[in-house]
Amino acid sequence: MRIEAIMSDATLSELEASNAEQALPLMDEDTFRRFYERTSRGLWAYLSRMTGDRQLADDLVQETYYRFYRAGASYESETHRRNALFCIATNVMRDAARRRRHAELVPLPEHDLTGDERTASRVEGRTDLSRAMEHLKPMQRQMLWLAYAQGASHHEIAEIFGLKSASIKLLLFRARRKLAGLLQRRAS
Amino acid sequence: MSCARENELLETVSAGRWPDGCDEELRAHAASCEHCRELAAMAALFHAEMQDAMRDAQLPSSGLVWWRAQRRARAEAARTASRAITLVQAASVAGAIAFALMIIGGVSVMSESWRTWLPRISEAFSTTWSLPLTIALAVFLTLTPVALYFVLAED
Repeated sequence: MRIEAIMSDATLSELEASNAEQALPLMDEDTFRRFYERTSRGLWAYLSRMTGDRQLADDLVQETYYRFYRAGASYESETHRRNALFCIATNVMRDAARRRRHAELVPLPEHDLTGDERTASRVEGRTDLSRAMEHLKPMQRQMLWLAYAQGASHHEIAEIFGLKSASIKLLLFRARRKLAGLLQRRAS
Repeated sequence: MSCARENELLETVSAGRWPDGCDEELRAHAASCEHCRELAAMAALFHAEMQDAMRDAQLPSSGLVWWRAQRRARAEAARTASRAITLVQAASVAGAIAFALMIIGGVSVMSESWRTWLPRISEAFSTTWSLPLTIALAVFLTLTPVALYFVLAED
């Protein structure tokens, strides 16, 4: 099934490649635009908070919607479609982190807070939560955000990460405990 | 590690009804359940962060994003097509070169063999059949084009 194929890294690339070859009829403009209107703010919030970089989030939003459009998949429901979008966004973020490993998704040490202009824009407006989140692993951050900010269910998160629902429960619990500890330490 | 009312609590927080707009009973449950208390606090933090982030978002219009996606898809399709054409061209050139090399090789082999048997023929001609055969060959070479011309001209 296409929605299942889109849920993992490797199969997503395969799906994109096969669609490029077969020149499938892609999503029509109205559907795409309506979907974008509904989801883009939430997606930008996810990307900007996970990368800590607004400019990068702008680029990644564009890239995510492009890959989503190219995938040209049909979905059973709006939830599936949204999950596929966040799955693509998560992969796009991972790709960007690989390319810019020195700059992105690496915990920013406290003494680096006063750096160049880009760093200043990165850290501007960061809350205690986002500071604490920087000490978590990218996957933990993403899971927590999807669960508690996006309101995604365990099953949906499992689809996005290509994992089993049962393991999401445990992973979320551990991530939440760790974050709670970090927040408490910061508060005290 | 979990509570039966976890989903209900998370839905309430994500709908922005926590803590003031929710049931008194759910609030009382969260106060007594350590898991739900921690969960509600965490979810409320994330919800607030999400609202802040969404307020900050300065996104391009859907039309612009659609147009860029279209343009990029076309550019990629063109690149894929041109890559295929380049491959075919490269294969053709390689084939032509291989064919030319084959012909050159064949000619050189033939010329080698001619060098061995042509002198023998000429020796044979010179000894027994030299004059009549030379005349016959000359007549054949002269008349054949003329004959061909008349045949083709009539057609």
